[in-house]
Amino acid sequence: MNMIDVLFTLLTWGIIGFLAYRIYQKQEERPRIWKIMIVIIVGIFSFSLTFPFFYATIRIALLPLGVWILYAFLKNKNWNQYRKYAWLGFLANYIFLSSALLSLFIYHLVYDEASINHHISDITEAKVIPIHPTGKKSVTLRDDFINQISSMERQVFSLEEMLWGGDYQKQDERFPYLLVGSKPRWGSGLSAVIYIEQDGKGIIINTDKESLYFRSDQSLLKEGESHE
Amino acid sequence: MNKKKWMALGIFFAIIIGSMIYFFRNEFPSDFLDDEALIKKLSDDMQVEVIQDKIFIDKKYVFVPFISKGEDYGYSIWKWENGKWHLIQKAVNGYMSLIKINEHDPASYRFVWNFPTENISTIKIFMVKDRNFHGMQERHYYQPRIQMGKSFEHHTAYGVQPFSGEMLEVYEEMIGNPSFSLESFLYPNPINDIYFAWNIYDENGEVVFLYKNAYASGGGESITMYQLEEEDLEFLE
Repeated sequence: MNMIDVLFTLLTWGIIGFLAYRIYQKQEERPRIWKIMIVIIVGIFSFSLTFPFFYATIRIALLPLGVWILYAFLKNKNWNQYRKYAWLGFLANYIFLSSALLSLFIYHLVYDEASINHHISDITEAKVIPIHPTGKKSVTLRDDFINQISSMERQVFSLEEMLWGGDYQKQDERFPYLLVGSKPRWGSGLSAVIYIEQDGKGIIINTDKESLYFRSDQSLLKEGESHE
Repeated sequence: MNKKKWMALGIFFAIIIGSMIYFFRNEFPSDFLDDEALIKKLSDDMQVEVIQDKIFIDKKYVFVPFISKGEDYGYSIWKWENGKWHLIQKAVNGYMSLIKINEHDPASYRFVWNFPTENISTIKIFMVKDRNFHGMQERHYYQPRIQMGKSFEHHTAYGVQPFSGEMLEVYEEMIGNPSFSLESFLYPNPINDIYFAWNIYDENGEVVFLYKNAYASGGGESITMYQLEEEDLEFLE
């Protein structure tokens, strides 16, 4: 779970609640609270444009559709009592937007999507499984695996020599091991599939965006001592 | 007013009782069909002669292997739904199926088959995901090939095996994490490109072909698997 996102979502609703309370305090004739809640939520409804923004999407609210609908229903009744809440709902779109941008910014201060330690932080329940006949069955993670990966360096991932060498689906698998059950850094919400190279010295982290490739001088795997 | 109240109460109880009947009909299947009824239902394009077994894979799923008059080996899968046993799949000569009892829990998946015993001594199940590579400017994506296998000795003609062990662990790791996609509409479901296949071997390890008219019908929560061409495998052990 992405804790930064969760925190900012709570914060945003807190701000909206606080602003609603301020309006409420200043009113002499106060509507029922459940009605206020409905008016705010309907007020959020808007015509908006979405833009892609660094693998996220941002929504910019343009037309306050919700406010118009509420006005149409309430203009002959007690619109004045609800007007401010309806506009607060529309304003909430911008509170959400700035909160999302801020949370994205802070996320990248706390977590690094290109860091191997943020993807693999806890291996107490992890193990390595051969996923191709090229992999050896008796292989396990070395005890100092976590320390070792800290010193690994990110490298450019070139596949040219593999791609042009004969039948593409008929060769040794360069990454015949899967790392199963490892956990990313707490609260990061990072999620990836992690493979280990045949010589045990390389790792690729397949996120939903790209493969991150890391190399080490020593093997991360040891042979034997299979617990089966 | 009183009348209205009674009406409302009546409707309320009718709904409660109705949903209870529905629940019990769904959750507590009645006795499974007997051999005679099964033979009748299964014999449409072929005459089924022997019902070999009736195996409850789950309280709502039954696996029924059979042999036809012409010595065709086949199987059917039945599911209890809406108060009736429904035939959800029937396959003859050269199929295996993967039954997904609970789609969201791969540990509930079961492999089933029915092959003649003569000349076949080993059955193998494969889980494969093809190698894949994308490069776009600075970003690269490489999907290693997954090719895992599991073999079973073939003593009795038919069998049921749970999806288990390392294959299951790898499968769960793959579906637990989102996969790369160029465009979500190009690769709508990343797990779909993991596929299952099988092969059968004689005692010398040679591939056996049944050379009989194979066919399968049905589907849904039961997926038919095909015999894997040896040449599609990398480095058979």
